Amino acid sequence: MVKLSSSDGREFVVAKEVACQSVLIKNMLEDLGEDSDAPIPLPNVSGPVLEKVIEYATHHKDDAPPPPEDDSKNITKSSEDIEEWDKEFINVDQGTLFEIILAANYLDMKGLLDLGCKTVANMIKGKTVEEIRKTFNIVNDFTPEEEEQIRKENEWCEDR
Amino acid sequence: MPSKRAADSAPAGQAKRTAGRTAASVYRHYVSDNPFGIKPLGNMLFDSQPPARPHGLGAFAPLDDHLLLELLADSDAFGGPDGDRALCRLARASRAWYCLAYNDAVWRQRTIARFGGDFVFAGSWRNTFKRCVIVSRQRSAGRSISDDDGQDPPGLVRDAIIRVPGMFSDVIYTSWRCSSVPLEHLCGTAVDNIDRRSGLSMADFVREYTEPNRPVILTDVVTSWPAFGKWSMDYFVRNYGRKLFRAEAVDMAFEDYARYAAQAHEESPLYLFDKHFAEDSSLAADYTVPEFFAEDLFQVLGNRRPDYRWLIVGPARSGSTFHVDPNSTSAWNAVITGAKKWVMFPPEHIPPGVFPSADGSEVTSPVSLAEWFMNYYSELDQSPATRKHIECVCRAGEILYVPNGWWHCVMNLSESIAVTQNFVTSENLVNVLDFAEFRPEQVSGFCHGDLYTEFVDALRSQRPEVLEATQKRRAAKLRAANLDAAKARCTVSSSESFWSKLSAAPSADGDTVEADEAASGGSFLFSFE
Repeated sequence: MVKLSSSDGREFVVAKEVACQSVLIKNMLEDLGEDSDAPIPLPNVSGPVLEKVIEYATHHKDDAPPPPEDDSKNITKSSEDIEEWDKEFINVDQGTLFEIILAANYLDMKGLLDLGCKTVANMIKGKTVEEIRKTFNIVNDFTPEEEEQIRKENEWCEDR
Repeated sequence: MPSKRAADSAPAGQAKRTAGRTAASVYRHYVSDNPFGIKPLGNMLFDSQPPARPHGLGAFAPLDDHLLLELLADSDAFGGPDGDRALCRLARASRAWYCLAYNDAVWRQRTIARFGGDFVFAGSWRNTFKRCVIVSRQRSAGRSISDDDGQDPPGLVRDAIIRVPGMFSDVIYTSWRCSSVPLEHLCGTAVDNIDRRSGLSMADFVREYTEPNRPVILTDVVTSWPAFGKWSMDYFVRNYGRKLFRAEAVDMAFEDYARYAAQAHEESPLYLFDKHFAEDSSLAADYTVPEFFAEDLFQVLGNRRPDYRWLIVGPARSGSTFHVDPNSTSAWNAVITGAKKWVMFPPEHIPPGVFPSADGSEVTSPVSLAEWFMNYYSELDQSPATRKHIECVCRAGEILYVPNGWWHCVMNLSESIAVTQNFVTSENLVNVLDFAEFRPEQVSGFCHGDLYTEFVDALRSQRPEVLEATQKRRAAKLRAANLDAAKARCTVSSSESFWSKLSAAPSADGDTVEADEAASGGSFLFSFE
């Protein structure tokens, strides 16, 4: 078992195989050695977010490791093929979603990061520019001339 | 996990003018404005412009630029036309998103993921991607379109890059700087401390370079090749324009690659490295393997031998980051046109900024060659008495010998065409067999199972005398290594060794030393000066 401590001082005890879904933690454990009883500090991850991360890692602990990336095959998986459990899991408020993405990046957990990124991409796709701004609280700071120029340069993708 | 950048500790873009203009300070002053107006992060502290990121990125603001760019380049998340629209609408949302979504490295990844090597480069990767989409749309609509002349198709609106205030980013700025700093300021192009020789006999070469494992440039070899004076970008475009050549992860028609190379202005330009070129008999006839490198024991494997010869073509700024050549082979590299800057380190001296893993299978180093030069080149010890490395600029008509095990990086200073081959001589066979036997998982370019077994079998039937001599040397080397290890493990204390007693420090009167043997009943008496 491994002890993890979040930025707000909460401690979580998890099975080693669950914790080692994080390459960062896996490397730390290898460096620290087996005997150390001290909790691993994760100052970049808050308690609630770490709880979610552990939930994900626990569910996925028996997953086969992903196949090595093969550039030459140009396989592009659609962002629609997210498994049901993951869809439910990632159905959180926007703030938590971004915190999960940041945590997955920090902890080096590719599967969780990919899930977060696909989810965000799905939130952007299909929306108009104004809808995107509203959804993510983005302020339009272009001048009208800038806006028009950039619109023209991007008409190409609006044809179906 | 893609490699992250070394921290850029160089000064902010608004460099103060100083009186002394060294080469280093000149290149810092050159630091040109990024066309989007993006400045290094530190500028945010004293720039009067309010920063664009907080309100421009909204909920995305906590994510760093590295992560945001990775997200945008993700072909799974933003694949297909839906993904194109998502990125382009993001670009229209705010100035901060404009800067990120227009990042050309993102569009290079998207172009290659969607179109492979089948693209007509149009000044930037974003323009290139647009062009590919428009052309493929017109083709599927059944409209015939001749795409060979590189003209812009109707409907292509090229980007007019807009300078926006308030964007500060080390990630984007560093990449920009690496793509634009003049190479003559970056790479020490005047530094050259390699031997240059001509008129060497085979015996000379073996004695002075092969046996001591030292690099050298030969100046009288390539100049007599048919390729020299004949090969040029134009020659290849005219005669092999539609033939496919390998450029990193894609195959491209030479004409398309040449068009790209003429326009590329990025940090790490796409590099053409093709191992099949000599299957064309005309190209193969245009060069001859020099006699110094004619012995090549991998030949015993016939066409099952590991990959060993490449045509190398690339624009200025393209090149190879630090590495050791595969399978412990040696190499020669002949420059037909252009010029290449080399920095080389002997096997036991790892270059600064380069961090191989314990078994040598992975090497961590800065993301790009330009970044290595920017951050580590000035750390090199240039004092002739103590320096460990060799640097040179290898020019058209010259051929460089890279002995096995030497670390090297190569930067093309101008558009270059070169040929290279890797080979095994009886001198480096020991290392090659050691590598193949003890690190089979790192063997490269050989797809037929176990290289060691097959190579030894082939040598036994074709070059038995070389194999026998080499296996004897390997066994002796192993014995010597084991003996050293055993000695190191032994702790012989000075009170037990007879000889250490004899060489004990002089007694108080300074002239003579009596062996303790005398004290313990022995019969020796020695006098030491």
